[in-house]
Amino acid sequence: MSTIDKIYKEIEEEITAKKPRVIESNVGYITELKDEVAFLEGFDNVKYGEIITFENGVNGLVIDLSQTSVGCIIFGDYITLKEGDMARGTGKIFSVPVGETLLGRVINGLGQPIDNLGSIKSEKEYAVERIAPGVVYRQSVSVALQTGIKGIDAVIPIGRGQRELIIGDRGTGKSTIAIDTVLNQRGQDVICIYCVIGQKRANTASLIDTFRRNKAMDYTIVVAATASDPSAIQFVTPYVATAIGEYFMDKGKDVLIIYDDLTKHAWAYRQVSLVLRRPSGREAYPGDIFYLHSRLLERSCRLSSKYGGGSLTALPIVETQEGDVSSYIPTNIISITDGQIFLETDLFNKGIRPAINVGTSVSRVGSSAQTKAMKKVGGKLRFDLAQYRELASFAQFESELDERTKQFLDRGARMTELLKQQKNKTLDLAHEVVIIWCGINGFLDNIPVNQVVSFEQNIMEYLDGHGSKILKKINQSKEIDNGTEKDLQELVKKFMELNYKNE
Amino acid sequence: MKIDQNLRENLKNLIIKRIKEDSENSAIIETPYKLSVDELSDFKNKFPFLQKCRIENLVTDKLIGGYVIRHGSEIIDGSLATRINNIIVSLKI
Repeated sequence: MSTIDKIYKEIEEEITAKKPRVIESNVGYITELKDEVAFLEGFDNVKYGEIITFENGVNGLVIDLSQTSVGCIIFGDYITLKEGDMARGTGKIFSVPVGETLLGRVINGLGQPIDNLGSIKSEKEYAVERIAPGVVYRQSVSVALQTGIKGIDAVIPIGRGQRELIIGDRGTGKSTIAIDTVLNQRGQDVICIYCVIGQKRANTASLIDTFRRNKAMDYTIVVAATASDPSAIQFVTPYVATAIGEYFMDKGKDVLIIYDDLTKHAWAYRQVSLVLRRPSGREAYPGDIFYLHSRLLERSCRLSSKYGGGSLTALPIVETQEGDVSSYIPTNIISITDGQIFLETDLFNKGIRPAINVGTSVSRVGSSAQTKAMKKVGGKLRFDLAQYRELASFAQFESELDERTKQFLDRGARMTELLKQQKNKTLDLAHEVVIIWCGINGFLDNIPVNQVVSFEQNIMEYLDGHGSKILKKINQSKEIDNGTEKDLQELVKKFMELNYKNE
Repeated sequence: MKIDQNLRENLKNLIIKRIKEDSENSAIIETPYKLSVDELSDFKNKFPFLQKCRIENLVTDKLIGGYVIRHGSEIIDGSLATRINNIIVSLKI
């Protein structure tokens, strides 16, 4: 059968099908039309958060109700609409299709596919706005989420169900950390959702390309509202992404969700609110800007095992201007989240990448989720780095330093060098633990600072060849017992003798 | 002229209430041609709520065929124009 015949047959079926020919609906008429926002009158019966449909097929979401008029945001083409046009209430609360079929797909902020891979079939729909799980449903964070980045896993550990903010100026590698974290979830039984809000389309395309190249799309969903999408869609996108994440969480799975970034989200909501003529406050943001983000981030949690034991980990990203973390949106989100990773331009320019400021970054709940092996080496590392920072600021003024101080400074410089890591090259737990173990046990002390990176490379190659048993053991048991430590010590000593004997 | 705030509120509420009552007790039937008495009683049998309402018959050729009943903010749409529009919209996406 040719294609035309098929289409002909479908049309015939459509016409002859016994469908209800009468549509009963609740209607209103546009009285005022603004950018992405319409005011309607005549609705007797419409709910807050209900989807309404305009005559040209575009949907709207009711987010403003008053005695006589209804305000809605328009998802799509509002230019062909005009004053007096009719809109029908659908009686449905804004919800999106969810399911396993979404994995590996790229969808827009309304849950529609934008990757040319055909339509998405799913049986279930989840409401976009949902109240966060209550206290009885939750349990505290107890399992680690491995980011594959040494600096974060050792010093600022993230647990499954935690909300950890990534904050920094533009071009400091915020998204890189998020992308690397997604790449590292391969084989970890974590479903990743990357939510793009107001980013450039070119960046989004290269992001998807990175995921495809590293085979990360198998367990990832990209929800994208780029800068050219209407603000109304950018505003709902993170909630849509969270609803999809909640589906997997309710199935008892671990989900990682990245909001890139919430500054743009706040801007989009500010625009919509101002056009809706809501009173504005500080920096022209509306009064409910705090609740906007708190109700979003409160939805990430770790469910107790009675309710499936799933989790939703959130890594929101916030962009600061000139390192100003005390402006409105950053302070709000810092106060909501369970810790933050500070990225600094100075460090980035010095070549320390990822440019994490280990001193100001914290993780408030993650340490209880850290693996035993990482806890063992990470504690010492944190101590060494803290000492280094304190002494380094003093050492700038003093010319003569005693032997002990010098030792601390040398150690610290090597540790800082050790935490450097290349983009898109994540490490598994064992490799991270072993390399930090070498650092805190003084194996690096005799190696020049500029050779630390090559040392790291060499020892990894050596260990992959000769110590795969040890690495496997650490990865499986997630701890270093005394026996393993002894074996490791012998092996590293052997390696040092072979390669760095003269120094 | 200065109007007392309370009076203005009351007046507004009263008017809104009046309009609502009025719209509840009246209905408009839009058709492409003028309905006969028999057809009108057919409508009343099919939609019992019309029996209580004051009915106005509006002739408009925009519908192409079928009928539209307007009752308050509710609309019962059995017109050909809407069905064609739905096909157009579904083809666009």
